Amino acid sequence: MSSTEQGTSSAAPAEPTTAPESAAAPEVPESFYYVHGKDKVVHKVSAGALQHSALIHGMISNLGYTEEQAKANPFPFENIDGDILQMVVDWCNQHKGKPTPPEDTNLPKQKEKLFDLVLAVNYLEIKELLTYCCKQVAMMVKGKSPEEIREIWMIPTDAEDEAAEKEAKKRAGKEAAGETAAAAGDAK
Amino acid sequence: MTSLVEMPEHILDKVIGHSNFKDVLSLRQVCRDFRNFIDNSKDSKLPDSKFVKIEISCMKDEIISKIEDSDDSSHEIEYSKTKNSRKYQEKKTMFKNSNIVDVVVRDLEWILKFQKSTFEEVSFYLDDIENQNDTSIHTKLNNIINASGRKIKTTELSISTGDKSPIIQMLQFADPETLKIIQFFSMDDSIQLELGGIARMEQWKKAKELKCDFRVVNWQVDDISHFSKITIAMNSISARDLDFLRKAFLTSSKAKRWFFEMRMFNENQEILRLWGPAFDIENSRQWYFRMKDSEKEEDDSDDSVGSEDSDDSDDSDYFEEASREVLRIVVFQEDHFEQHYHIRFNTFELRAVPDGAIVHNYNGN
Repeated sequence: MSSTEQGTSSAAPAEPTTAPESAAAPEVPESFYYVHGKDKVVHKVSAGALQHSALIHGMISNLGYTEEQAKANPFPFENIDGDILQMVVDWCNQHKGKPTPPEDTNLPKQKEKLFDLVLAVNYLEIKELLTYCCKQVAMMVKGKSPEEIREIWMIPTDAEDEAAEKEAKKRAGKEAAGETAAAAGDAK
Repeated sequence: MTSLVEMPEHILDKVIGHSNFKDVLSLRQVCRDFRNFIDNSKDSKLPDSKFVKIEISCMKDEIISKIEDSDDSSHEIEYSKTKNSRKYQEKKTMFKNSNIVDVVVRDLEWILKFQKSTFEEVSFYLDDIENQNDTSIHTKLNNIINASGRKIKTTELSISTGDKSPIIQMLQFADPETLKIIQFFSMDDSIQLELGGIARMEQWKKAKELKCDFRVVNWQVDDISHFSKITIAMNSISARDLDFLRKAFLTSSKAKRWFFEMRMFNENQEILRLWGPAFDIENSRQWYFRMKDSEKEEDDSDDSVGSEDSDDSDDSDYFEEASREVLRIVVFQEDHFEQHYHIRFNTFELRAVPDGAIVHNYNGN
């Protein structure tokens, strides 16, 4: 099953970081949960790493799944793209049980990815990562003129916006007129 | 792709919280959604502009606003009344339909909206005397400050004007909790300033230092005796008031240096009767008075404590005595200007009192 391979491979780099923690608290065996995004690729993530997400943490704390049950019921996050979920899982693994540093430089520099990441992180309620992402967005705005910001983030000017609204209204008006015409036709 | 505009509000809040004030102003100009969002944001969510000083100079044809950043860089914005334009660095904006004073006030409003730290100094220089009416800058600024309920947080407020009428209004701009230093500079020597109303303001009562070169009239000793430092001009002073001030200085734990400049002083005989013989040097008369208690020295001077610890008990009395401060009052008449007197009160080291001068005891009178 290719999906589990993907999952274990992504969880693998987190192994060394789990070692000292389990050494510190050896009596508690680590439990794992499974998540997948829009692409259905399943990621295996430790409960410790998932603590970062208030949403998932809330879900699993009430479930009391066994390993098998968890494996059989991965959490579906259909609204999150596969690569974005991968980033989130990687971040959670890297920062498992560790105090988060004041800066995080490993965030995506491409704005498309960053925005999707912000929305995913917001949805999953990962507070620290959301702060880093918002800092990153602020960095991308820094020192830019309004025109540059508009260009980078593809934001229409007010004039364009108003024109689009007018156009939409017109179209809606036409459609409404068409419908009434059609309705009138039906009535005949 | 998701656009920045579609982000949930609390995310935009966070982005704004991590941006500096200039970036927020740029974002505000991007589109109306951002503009509405930022305009409706609570002040607490906006970043601090961290400016240190602001100086607004209103001249006949132009208004110049100078803003100093915490990193010592400064910005200068020129507003031309004749061309109805604003110039900042290379960027020039023309305002066809707006009054230029409105533009200045609007810009200031933005600066104040983003200012969370306390300014070191805010100064106004009003040289457009013929224009002191409803359209003047202080009236408009007063309106926005009243509307927002946001007073200017500054340590020092400085007002230079040739017309005393805006002073009370402008003093009200300052947040009394932060204001320590008040400065009024007169651009017309003939103007007299009545202290009555001003002295009842919270800003005045809570301030620590005063510099006023308007000649004050209708004032009471109590109006000024709470300041630690005073420089003030007046027409004259009576011996009785001067003696009240002396007592206020001796009993105050804050008074440091008071300086009175006046045109007339005819009370020498009465003062000699009240204070006893003076020590005369050239055209000045000096009196020295012991302070009420030693609290003042213990608060401010670590040296005396140090010398006390390190020396023998026999010497320590001597050192303590020598480093003690007394009040020195100097009445001075300028040689060349007959109508020009200075009276200065200041704390003075006992050991520096000249030989032959009497140090009067606190309860001398």
